[in-house]
Amino acid sequence: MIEIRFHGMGGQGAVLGALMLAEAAFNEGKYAQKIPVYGGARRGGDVTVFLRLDDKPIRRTCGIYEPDCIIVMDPALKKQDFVRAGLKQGGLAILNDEEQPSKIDLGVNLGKVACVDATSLSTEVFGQRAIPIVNTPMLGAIAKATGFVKVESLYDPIKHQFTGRIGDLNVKAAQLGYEHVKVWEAKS
Amino acid sequence: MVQVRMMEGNEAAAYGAMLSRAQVVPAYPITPQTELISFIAQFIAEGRMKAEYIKVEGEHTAMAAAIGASAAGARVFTASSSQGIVFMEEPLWMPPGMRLPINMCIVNRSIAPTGGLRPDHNDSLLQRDTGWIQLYCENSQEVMDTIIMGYKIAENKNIYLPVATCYDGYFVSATASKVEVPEQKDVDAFLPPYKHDWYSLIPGESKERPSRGGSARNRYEVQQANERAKKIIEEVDKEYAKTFGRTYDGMIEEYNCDSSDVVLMTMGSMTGTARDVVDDLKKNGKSVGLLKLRCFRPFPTEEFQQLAHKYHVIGVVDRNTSTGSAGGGIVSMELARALYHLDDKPLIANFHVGLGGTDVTPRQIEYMADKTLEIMKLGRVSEPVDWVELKDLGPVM
Repeated sequence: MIEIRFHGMGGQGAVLGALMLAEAAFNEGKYAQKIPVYGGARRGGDVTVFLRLDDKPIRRTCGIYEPDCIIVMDPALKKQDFVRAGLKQGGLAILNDEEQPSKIDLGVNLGKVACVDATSLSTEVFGQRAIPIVNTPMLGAIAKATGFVKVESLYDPIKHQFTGRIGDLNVKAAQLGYEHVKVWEAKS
Repeated sequence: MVQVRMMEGNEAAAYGAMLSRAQVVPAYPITPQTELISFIAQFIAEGRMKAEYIKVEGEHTAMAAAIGASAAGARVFTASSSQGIVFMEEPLWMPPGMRLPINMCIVNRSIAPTGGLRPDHNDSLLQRDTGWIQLYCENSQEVMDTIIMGYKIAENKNIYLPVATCYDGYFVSATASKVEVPEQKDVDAFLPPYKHDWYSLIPGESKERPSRGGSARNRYEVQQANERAKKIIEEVDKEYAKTFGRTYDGMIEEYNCDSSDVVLMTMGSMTGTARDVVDDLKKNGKSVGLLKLRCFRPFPTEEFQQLAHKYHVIGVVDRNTSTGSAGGGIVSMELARALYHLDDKPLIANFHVGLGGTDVTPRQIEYMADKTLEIMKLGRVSEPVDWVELKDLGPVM
């Protein structure tokens, strides 16, 4: 079982992003489970989403305390203790960040770090917004950096959520995330 | 064709209502139920669901409208949570006494002042004396299936009772997992149109009415209907399994209980986590099994009496409190009463966990399993109520 924890702020699309990744994995024949945790459904609040992927049915319905992978939807969040908490040695971190991945220090020896400037990519595709929606560029980056799903598998779930032109723009955002992500890997 | 896809509990519930061909849906939004009624509104707007959606000014009116519609001959669905259920309390006593087979989802959420938006079971358990049947679900699939089964149970003319389909906010309501959506024609064959034998809008056509012979007579009849419902719940589950290939073992599921000296008993979403934990413990030579209590009302007293001799200790995990009670949580008190007259009965351990919607972690479940084994060795219950959540058992969000 792979356990992934998303950290974001209300409005960035962490919940929907995790759902689309879950659906992509599901369509590839895996079992998936998405559990979101937040307070009121409001913009700017803390959002944590737990995502599990496995080859067999997933039964446990609890939080993820020792994730194999964290997804950080906002550059400001990487300094927060609850974001780093429990991250496994040799684990993965995918961040929305302009920084070079080799410069990211989350206080634990990671196996792989990937950074993508999802905020800029989102602005490029969707224009300026008070809270840029970064989920689809992040999904593209996750597909490239982790191989959890193929990038093409993301397109149907994206179009399931967003129809017409908005769907096409989100597919494009995912492709941009896939192309622009920078990956650092620990030497084995 | 049977559709298989990822679905959140709230969407699964909306599908359950649509597939059951609910005709009237009076509802008021409240977190974490909101998406459920929003899906239903969408299904109706898209023309996929033929139902009257009644926008009401609050939950009290939602239930009042549900009562009227059900007595007028419509299949009724509604849903609420937490403070909404509390606000609904006054008309909530009417459907059992009037014998109206309304189906309502209680999307469990803790109650003010300290509770947040996440679940414990005090909102639904608060209604345990009303006469409503209460079924608790573990995941999205079970929510959808239980709503369809719920109407079949409720509308049985020997029962005519309302059913509450209860599931945890967030951990079920917003959790997406694999769901098989049955075909409409199969649901139609399983669940014929609603027709209440007692009520008619045409003057002179109403036959029997719920008893008017005083409160005692009315409450006695509701009690008898609850008793009869036990057999019907088991039968409907078997019939559902035959038609759709899924069973939930009726009122109680015994999971991995073979050669178990002790068992934990859970309700709702934590059951899935507990399945993983007891499987791991069994592999490590610890003889702990799991009872999933699916049906809290009617309480499966006879079934507990039959299985009680098999276990030395039952560790009841109460995601609720009854402060000032005779001892511990609501489920443990029910179980104690059910077993009291038996000569050969297990010890009952009681745990409080997951209150106000905090997570129930594998480590907490392992702790409760170990405690239950310790009690067996000791031969007595040293700590009548164990507030697990207040102990330091690692991070809990």
